Amino acid sequence: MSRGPRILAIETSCDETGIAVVSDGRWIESNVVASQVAVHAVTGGIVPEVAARQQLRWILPGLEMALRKADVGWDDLDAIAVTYGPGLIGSLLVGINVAKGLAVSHGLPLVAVNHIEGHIYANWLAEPPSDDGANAKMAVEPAEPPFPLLCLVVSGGHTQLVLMADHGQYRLLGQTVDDAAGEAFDKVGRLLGLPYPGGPAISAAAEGVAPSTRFPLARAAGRYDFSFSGLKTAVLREVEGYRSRGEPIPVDGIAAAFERAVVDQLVRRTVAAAAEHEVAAVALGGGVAANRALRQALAERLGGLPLLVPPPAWCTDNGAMIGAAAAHRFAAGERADAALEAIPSLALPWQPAA
Amino acid sequence: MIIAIESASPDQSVALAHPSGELVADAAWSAERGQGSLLLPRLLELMSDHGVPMSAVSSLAVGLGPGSFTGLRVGLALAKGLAAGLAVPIVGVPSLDAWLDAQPTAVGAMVRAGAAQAWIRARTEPEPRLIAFDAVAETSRDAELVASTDLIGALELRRASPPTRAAAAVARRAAERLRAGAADDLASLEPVYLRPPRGLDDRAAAPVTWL
Ligand SMILES: [Zn+2]
Repeated sequence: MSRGPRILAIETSCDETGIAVVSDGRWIESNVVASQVAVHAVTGGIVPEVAARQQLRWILPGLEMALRKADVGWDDLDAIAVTYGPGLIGSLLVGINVAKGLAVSHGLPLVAVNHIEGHIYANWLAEPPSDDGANAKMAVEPAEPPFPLLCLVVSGGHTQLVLMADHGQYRLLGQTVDDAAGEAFDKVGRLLGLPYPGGPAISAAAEGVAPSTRFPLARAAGRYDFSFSGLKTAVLREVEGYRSRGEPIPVDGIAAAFERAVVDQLVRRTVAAAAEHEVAAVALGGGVAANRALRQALAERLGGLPLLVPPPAWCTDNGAMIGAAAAHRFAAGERADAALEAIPSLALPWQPAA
Repeated sequence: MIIAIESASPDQSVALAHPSGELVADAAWSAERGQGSLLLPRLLELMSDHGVPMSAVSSLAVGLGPGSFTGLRVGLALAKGLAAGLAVPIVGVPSLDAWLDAQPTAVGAMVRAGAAQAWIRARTEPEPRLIAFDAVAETSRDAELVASTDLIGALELRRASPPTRAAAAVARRAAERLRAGAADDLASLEPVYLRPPRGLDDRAAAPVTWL
């Protein structure tokens, strides 16, 4: 197995503290994540100041675990990578400054990574084969995603459809004009009295249940743009209708109808974009990629086109995906300097529509 | 060599000091933006100007607040990264104590606490008190204070000056504690927030889940 640059990667853009060691832009040597989901369940959503405090509290224990699990020392590393946006500024700054301190203390280059790019590069990640060859399924190096690649990045913070012509070459085809898909799941989950986070709770409620209604397909500005806030309002009206009639609210049925409407919107746009741009494969990223209804519907509607879905642990925020994306920026000679700042609304270097 | 960082307010400073606490050099500036992005460039500049290599660093000293949550977090995160990378001890110092040290004639130190409040630490009192802007007495405006530039402007503090030498004082206080063999726990060291996130009880005790 080839061993390209070995990168220590730090991801603190939101409410997960992710630290990983990744070599050659693919191989996960360790991938430690401290999840604050239980913390934010108390408030039913993420309070940025709470998230930032937790980031600072857990980043060094996470670092120590990641280095120990990978069994590497500072001399074994070629670079430090860190997410510098998009995300919550208070959370981003924790990772950025710890990364700066680590980098200058060992004279290692610092590579700044876009979080969305990280989600896309989760599709390149792989577990290295174990030394004793026990990990037989990895005896053959897993293929890399082919180009052109259509990426649907969908999570609590983002919903974007990105066309990737090659490494580092992105074209934004569409994105949400209001809420992110995962955010809509959280808000509707709260509306239906389901626990936080809303995604898994709604999927569980909707499992094997017939939708109680059919919500209309949302329209958005661009052909491949998304919109979820109207859907959220439709759910609210539906719930209020049952309330005003004094009828019991069919929570599971509404959850199923909502999930179907979200999935339908994501799938339609993705399938249409895949056809128009004649891509070689479609790749998912972001926490909502773990949604089974989405994966099933996409696989069916894409016909024979390969659908790449990283394991759930690589879809949610983590350090390994940042390490994978960083490898290409590192190879291209990109280096961040000591004054690196967080950019909460960072976009990828999108190419203008041809 | 001790590296000291003080970033509780937009008036930030860094210092290099001998293990005795004796100052080698310091630098101060007023940060226009809230990110503290000048901390590391200024520190590296200071180290190179005075020929101090990373290998000469023996400990980190950092102001813990109270003050700007973001400012404190940036300073402590940088200090944690340096201390973890260099495998050296870290010592946290109450920021307003250091501010008072840095300006011996000041009767109190004041730092912003949100939009319309400030923490004030009188030299004669052990702990900082929270005070609303509109409760600042006219007489206080003529008191000799050490206060962040933004407060000096907002409250028209006529005889106040900013904490430009605070990092040097942080280094002196840290040196004392280090000589007594007392360092802080690097992983769990946190700013002195003094207040929970707006509108919340403190959730610091809620557990994270390791995945
Ligand atoms: Zn994300």
